[in-house]
Amino acid sequence: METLETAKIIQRLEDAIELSNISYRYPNAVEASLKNVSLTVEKGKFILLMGSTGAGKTTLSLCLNGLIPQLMEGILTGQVYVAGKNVGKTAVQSLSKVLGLVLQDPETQIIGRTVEEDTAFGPRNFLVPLDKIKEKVNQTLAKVRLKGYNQRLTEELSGGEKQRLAIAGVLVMEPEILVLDEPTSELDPIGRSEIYQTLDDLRRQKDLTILLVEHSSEDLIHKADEVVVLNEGKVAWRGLPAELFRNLPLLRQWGIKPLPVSQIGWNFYEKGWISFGQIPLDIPATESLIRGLLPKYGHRQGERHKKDPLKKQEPNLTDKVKAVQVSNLIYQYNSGQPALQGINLTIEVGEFVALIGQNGAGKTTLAKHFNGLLKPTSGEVIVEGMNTLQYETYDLARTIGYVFQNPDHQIFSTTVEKELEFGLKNAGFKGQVIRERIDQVLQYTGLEKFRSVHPFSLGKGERQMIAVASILVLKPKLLIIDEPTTGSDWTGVQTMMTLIRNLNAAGTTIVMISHDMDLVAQYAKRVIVLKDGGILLDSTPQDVFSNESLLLNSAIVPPQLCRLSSQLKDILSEEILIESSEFTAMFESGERTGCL
Amino acid sequence: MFIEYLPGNTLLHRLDVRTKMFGFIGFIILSFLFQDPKYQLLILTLISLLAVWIKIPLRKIWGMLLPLIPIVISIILITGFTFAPERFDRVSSQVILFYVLPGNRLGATVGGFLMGTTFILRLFSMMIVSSVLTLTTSMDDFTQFFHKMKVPAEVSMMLTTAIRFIPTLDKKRKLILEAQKARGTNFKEKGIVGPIRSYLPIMIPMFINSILMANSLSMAMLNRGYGLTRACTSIREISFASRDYWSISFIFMLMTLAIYVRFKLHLGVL
Amino acid sequence: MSNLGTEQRDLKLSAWNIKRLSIMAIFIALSAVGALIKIPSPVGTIGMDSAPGFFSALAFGGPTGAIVIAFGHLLTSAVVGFPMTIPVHLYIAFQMALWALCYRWVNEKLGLIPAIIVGIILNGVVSSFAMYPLMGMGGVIGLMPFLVIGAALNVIISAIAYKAIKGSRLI
Ligand SMILES: Nc1ncnc2c1ncn2[C@@H]1O[C@H](COP(=O)(O)OP(=O)(O)OP(=O)(O)O)[C@@H](O)[C@H]1O
Ligand SMILES: Nc1ncnc2c1ncn2[C@@H]1O[C@H](COP(=O)(O)OP(=O)(O)OP(=O)(O)O)[C@@H](O)[C@H]1O
Ligand SMILES: [Mg+2]
Ligand SMILES: [Mg+2]
Repeated sequence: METLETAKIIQRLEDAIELSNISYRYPNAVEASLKNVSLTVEKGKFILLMGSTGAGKTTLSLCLNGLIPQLMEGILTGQVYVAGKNVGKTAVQSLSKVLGLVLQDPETQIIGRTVEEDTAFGPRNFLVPLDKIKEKVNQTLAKVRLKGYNQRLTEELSGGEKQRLAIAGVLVMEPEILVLDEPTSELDPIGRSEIYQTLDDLRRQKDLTILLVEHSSEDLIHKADEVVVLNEGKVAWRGLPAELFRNLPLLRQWGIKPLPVSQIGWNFYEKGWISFGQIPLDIPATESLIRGLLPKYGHRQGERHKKDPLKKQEPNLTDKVKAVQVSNLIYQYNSGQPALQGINLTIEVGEFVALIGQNGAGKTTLAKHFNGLLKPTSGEVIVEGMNTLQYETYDLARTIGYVFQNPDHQIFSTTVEKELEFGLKNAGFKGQVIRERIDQVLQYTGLEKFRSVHPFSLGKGERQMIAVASILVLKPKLLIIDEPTTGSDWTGVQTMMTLIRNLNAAGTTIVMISHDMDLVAQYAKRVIVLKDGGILLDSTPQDVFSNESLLLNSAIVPPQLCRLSSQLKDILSEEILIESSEFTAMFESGERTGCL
Repeated sequence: MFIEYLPGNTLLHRLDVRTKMFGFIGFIILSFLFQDPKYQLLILTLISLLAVWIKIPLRKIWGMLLPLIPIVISIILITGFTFAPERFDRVSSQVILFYVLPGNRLGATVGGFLMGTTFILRLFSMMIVSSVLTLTTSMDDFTQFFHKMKVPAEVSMMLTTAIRFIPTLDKKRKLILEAQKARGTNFKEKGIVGPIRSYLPIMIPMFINSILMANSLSMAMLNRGYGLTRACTSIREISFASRDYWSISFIFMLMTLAIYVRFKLHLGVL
Repeated sequence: MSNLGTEQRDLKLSAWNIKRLSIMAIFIALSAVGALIKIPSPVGTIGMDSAPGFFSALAFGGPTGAIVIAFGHLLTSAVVGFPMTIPVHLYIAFQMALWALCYRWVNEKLGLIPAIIVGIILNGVVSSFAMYPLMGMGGVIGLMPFLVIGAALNVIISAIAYKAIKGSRLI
């Protein structure tokens, strides 16, 4: 008996994390959020924790450092050991020396006024002497690439810098385990890969165990040692990333976004051309695979591909009124460089436009001009025939819908129905019309079942949908959506995007701001790249994404498939392909414009 | 949007925060000792010299004074009429200038008007001295002061955190305002019910977001070991320098003099 | 929390106290920000600086509300440079803390509507008279309309917001 105990303890010292039979229910929830979760993580591993929204990823991270149950009430059963310590019996504060937890929103994790003050917060609580703190702070800041930022005000940091500071704040306590809950959700692609790079460096420099919660996987697939998938509070799958990302049906089942290239591979696999193990996971592998398969399976003599996905949409010339007309727009916030420096832009009625660009490029600033939230410093903006200088936002709101990124900034009613009513009442609608429109939109967005539920008892994805619905009831002619899918899982993204595409098909002009290049390539018909307050590129997705080097300068990485197809220019098509089905179609129809 | 601090290197900036607090309290006592506007004017002049010394922006002073003008006028007028003659020690102050209502009711006394003027001058000088204090003392110094005054560490943590989060919440306020404007909220409704109806969509999300923010803040603080021990390593220790001893003696002498004038010589009363 | 074992004995500040501390800190900051939300009224614009305090009294308990409203008042006035001088603001802050406690107490004993009425009377009428020693009758009469309407807006908004949020899982 005793030897068994000792053996267990030794085992625990080797494992960084050991969860046995963890179940947890939030105080006022009906169902348990974690159900019999057992999981061990070896020291020094990099684990990716995935799963759809509401799967319990955040809940699990909170269990790891004792915030559940020490801060959150509710019923927790089971045992958690972290680096040999019993989490149930150790205060959160002591655990922070062993396990550092970085939460989603960097804003609330930054406690100090300056970078240095913030980083020093942890060690000061442990009564580390002052000169030692200074040294540690400088070391840590260097590790997260914030060297020399010591005296900067935290309020003035960019999103990515804030995120790295949040990591520095826990890293400075020298934990053995680092748990990060979606640390990159609002960053541009380059900012995101910088964070991942930082994590990778950290792991190499010292024996750090990392548990990372993320929705996207493209940059991580070669960095992570293992993937753990949670589904409805249970561990649904665990294994090598390659195994999981080759298995498309599994991913679909759990609402995880597949890699675009492995989608192509899966198509080949289904046709029986390649084995499961050959399904590629990155661009070079796919490239060589396609090069290998083409002579064998590609129909060389086929007729030209019928569907021409690259055809530029003809502007509708009969429409006199443009959706948006911007001329010489300059906008300056209080001080410094103007945020927008001479924008000229016309958007026709019925277009689907994506605005992309790095953090701080001016996307939101530009979009806010479309509904009069901001008025030009000079130049003018005419939307649906109205000059924004002459109209107040509440007048424009009837024709121009603006959905903001964070639904929690606008939801204030006690039921979903009342929330939708608000905009209609503002616009002066009465009784019957209100009821009809609400019914219609509830149905359209699939929110019917939540009609009389308090919005804050729903998940974030549903609240996002409520925010969209509350704008849709107004039947806007122009809909602006500012990063509508941050933090949503794959299923949520699909639902939202299908909705938007349907609206567009029904005639609504769409302006979408997004950092997700796959979505942009897939849905938008026109892409505008902003950089430093000016328009860098404005064309079809194919054109824009073929400018790889130019885009790199503005922190954009083209979608995986676009990069792939430009690698394969010589054998496939001169043009850039966007959907995985297009690649497969190449093989079926044999369309080639290359000189093979 | 912080409590403003005016960078500078005058003696006032360099004095220990405890000395400044002592001087501040001394000054408050001083201005409550005297009722005569002439003495108040003297105090106001002295304190204005301090303000000039640290180069207070004039715009700031005006920004503070302008909104008070209606109250100033009402104080002078109403004090003038409502201070009964018996309340004054000096005969000259008891003189009644004229009556507002027939039948010798509601008389305006000379003392009343003088008293009103004193109220105003006292208000002005206290405003200026408060700004001088806050503008020359950094947030760090105040924290140190709390620490030295044995204010529990939690209280000063609470205050510094509150100050740190003002800009963050202000950003939230702007975002919420924009989100509701984009849904057609009109903030120009009249009456008392109108404003409440149109501002609820701002205030409720403010409360909700604050609760969410407080939740994650408490997690972040725990994550970083806050509360493990009651104390924490302090960044800087404050200590008295010789200039502080000199200043304290000077303030002390000034106080003694003032008390002597007021209670032994019976000057400065009305 | 009580379900923790012995290793935690040395702990001075439990997780729960830290939660209260952060709620207080955020709502104090919100009071300062609330002062920037200017609601038009017949007597001029009214800031939302005491609504967070009254709301906290209802949502998180009387003492929390009292601390939030008192420090909130001090911080709000500090941001604009203590327009009525530090001692006067301390005096007002102390009063506000009392009113927040009464507001919560009446809400528990009699309900929300009586609490609103009591809140308006205390913070509007009684507070005006409390300025008598400092400003004389002139000040009291000059202040009364501002304070009554300010109190009404802040108290009513805090009460409605409390009712709206109570149904969710936030509080
Ligand atoms: N404070 C709470 N009270 C009650 N239920 C909660 C609370 N927080 C989360 N839940 C519920 O617990 C479940 C798991 O939530 P959790 O936040 O862990 O999911 P997640 O996997 O992190 O999702 P996401 O990808 O959206 O962050 C969900 O069903 C959610 O509705
Ligand atoms: N309220 C503001 N006051 C001052 N400057 C601002 C304000 N909002 C934005 N800016 C600045 O204007 C520039 C453009 O910001 P904007 O928010 O439009 O960028 P964005 O492209 O939407 O970035 P993101 O991808 O991070 O949302 C940035 O340099 C930003 O710092
Ligand atoms: Mg989560
Ligand atoms: Mg933006």
